[in-house]
Amino acid sequence: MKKTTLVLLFLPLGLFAQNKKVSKPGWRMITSTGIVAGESDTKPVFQLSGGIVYDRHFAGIGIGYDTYQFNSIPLFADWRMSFGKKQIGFIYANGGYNFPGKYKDENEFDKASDLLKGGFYMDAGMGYRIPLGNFNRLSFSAGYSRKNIRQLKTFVYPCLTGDCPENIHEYKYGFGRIIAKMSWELGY
Amino acid sequence: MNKKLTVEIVSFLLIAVMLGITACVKDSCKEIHTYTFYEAVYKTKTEVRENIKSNAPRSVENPGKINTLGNYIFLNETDKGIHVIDNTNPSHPKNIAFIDIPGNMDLAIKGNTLYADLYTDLVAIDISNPASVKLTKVIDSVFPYRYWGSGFVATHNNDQIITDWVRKELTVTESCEEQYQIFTGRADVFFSAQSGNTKASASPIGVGGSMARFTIMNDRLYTVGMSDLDVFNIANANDPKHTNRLNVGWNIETIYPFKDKLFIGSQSGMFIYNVSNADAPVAAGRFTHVQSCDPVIADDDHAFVTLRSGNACRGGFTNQLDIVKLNNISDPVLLKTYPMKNPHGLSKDGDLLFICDGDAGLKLYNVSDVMNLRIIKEVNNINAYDVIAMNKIALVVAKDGLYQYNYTNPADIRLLSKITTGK
Repeated sequence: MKKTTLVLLFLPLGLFAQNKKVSKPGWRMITSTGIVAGESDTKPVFQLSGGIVYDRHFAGIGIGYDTYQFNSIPLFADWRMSFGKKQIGFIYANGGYNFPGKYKDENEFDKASDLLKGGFYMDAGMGYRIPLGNFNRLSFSAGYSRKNIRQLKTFVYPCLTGDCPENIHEYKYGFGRIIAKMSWELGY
Repeated sequence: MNKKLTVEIVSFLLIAVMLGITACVKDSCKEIHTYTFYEAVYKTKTEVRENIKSNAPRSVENPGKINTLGNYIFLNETDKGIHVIDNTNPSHPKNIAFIDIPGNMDLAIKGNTLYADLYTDLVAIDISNPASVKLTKVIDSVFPYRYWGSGFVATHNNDQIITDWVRKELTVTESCEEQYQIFTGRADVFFSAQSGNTKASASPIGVGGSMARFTIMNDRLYTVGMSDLDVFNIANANDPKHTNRLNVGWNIETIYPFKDKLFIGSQSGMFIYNVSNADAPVAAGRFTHVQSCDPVIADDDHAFVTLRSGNACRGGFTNQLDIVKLNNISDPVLLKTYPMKNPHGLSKDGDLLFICDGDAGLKLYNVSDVMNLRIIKEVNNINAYDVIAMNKIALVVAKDGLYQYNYTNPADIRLLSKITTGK
């Protein structure tokens, strides 16, 4: 069991170690479209990443548009590692901050404000690539994505003297979803 | 690593990942509710009444209604009492005393007597020496509608009077599936201020703003509650007597005197009462409008009614100035409507109309042609609530204090002074 655990822990390093060839640094742009499927809905997502490729690794930053429950704009660090002899397989992990997007609040009696606040964003999984020449690749990936978002509603109840009573309702949402993406990778 | 072991590891890995992902695919929601409420601080009636005197001046915190007479400004500190301000020099007003009147919302002045509400009671105060005022009379329980939350009437059949409120907070955390409801807050006391009438009288009458619920006409003090118009005989200024109560509708807000008429603003319309018989006002006309708050002032020919929406006013999104023709008092006719942002009090001096337009500031119009109002000046940096314009000085009660402007040149009104709130 101990041996199995160690193998699982070091599997990514093992995959990385399979290719000992050192290549020149390059750049890559990745445009992705996909869907997220959560407990209550299935919605489209869009992402755009750019960064540096070195050896089997890609490191960059990305921005997205996530429409699950609340529209949001994730800004994230993007890391990918390729494996396999032709570097067709890859694992990836994105992590960052989720900025609230445009939000149409509902009319509620005595509501003084209704604000969305951002929160943690992550997306991790694995996929494979189909090379389209030396410069272009089409990739497919699946994984797990989570976005957190906060909603702050303040209600001020009518009063005509002094400070009016107010209630503040904070809703902390966490959305865990399966994510499937199709991407076009441009670059070396 | 043999092939069999590799297959086992990969299979285990895939199953673990799939189970892990499945378990994590869910929407979670946690609610944190922070409720604020106010806990009452009590004093006995005797303690409260003994303290109605010229106490040390306090900083202005929640300015409300305003009344001015001679060189003095009497500014209501909402729910707490009245600031006495020596305005001999409008450029340097001096806050000289504070009269503690818990639950005070309104005031009116005639001669040397100030009338104010103390929750459900009416108090008469001798202000012949503003630095040393004296309580002369209390009429108990004359404003029964002035109670605080949960059905508790602050001064009615009870020796305890609420003199302050302490803010408390309660935080509750729960999942979004639970519906934990707490009723919080407190019920309200009603808005009030003071309306003006400069008509000749044996004793000079203080001039108030258009948000008033108290007004004086000759020897009568008229007050409006939620639905009542009360009449007090103040021929003997220090000994007011309640003489009549009339039901005048619902959601009554303001009262404004002009000549022998009272203009009463309600959330559904403006009512005109004839007071030829001072103790028995008679309904003379009515102008109906959409549900909104509506201070009103009038001159010989027109009534100027500001309608606003908002938390306390309900009723949609109406924010406007209505000008109503008064040729036929029994049938007032809307002449024209002008859009506003969130209009509150207003005041008129000749052809100049001052409108407190909430956080859009103070607006000054030329109303010589009511069909074509001309804006002369906007003062945008204040959240204006009520205004009294006379003798080229505009007293403006704003959220952050009391402003005084000189409008000798209306196109270039100048700030003379400001008493800033101490918040």
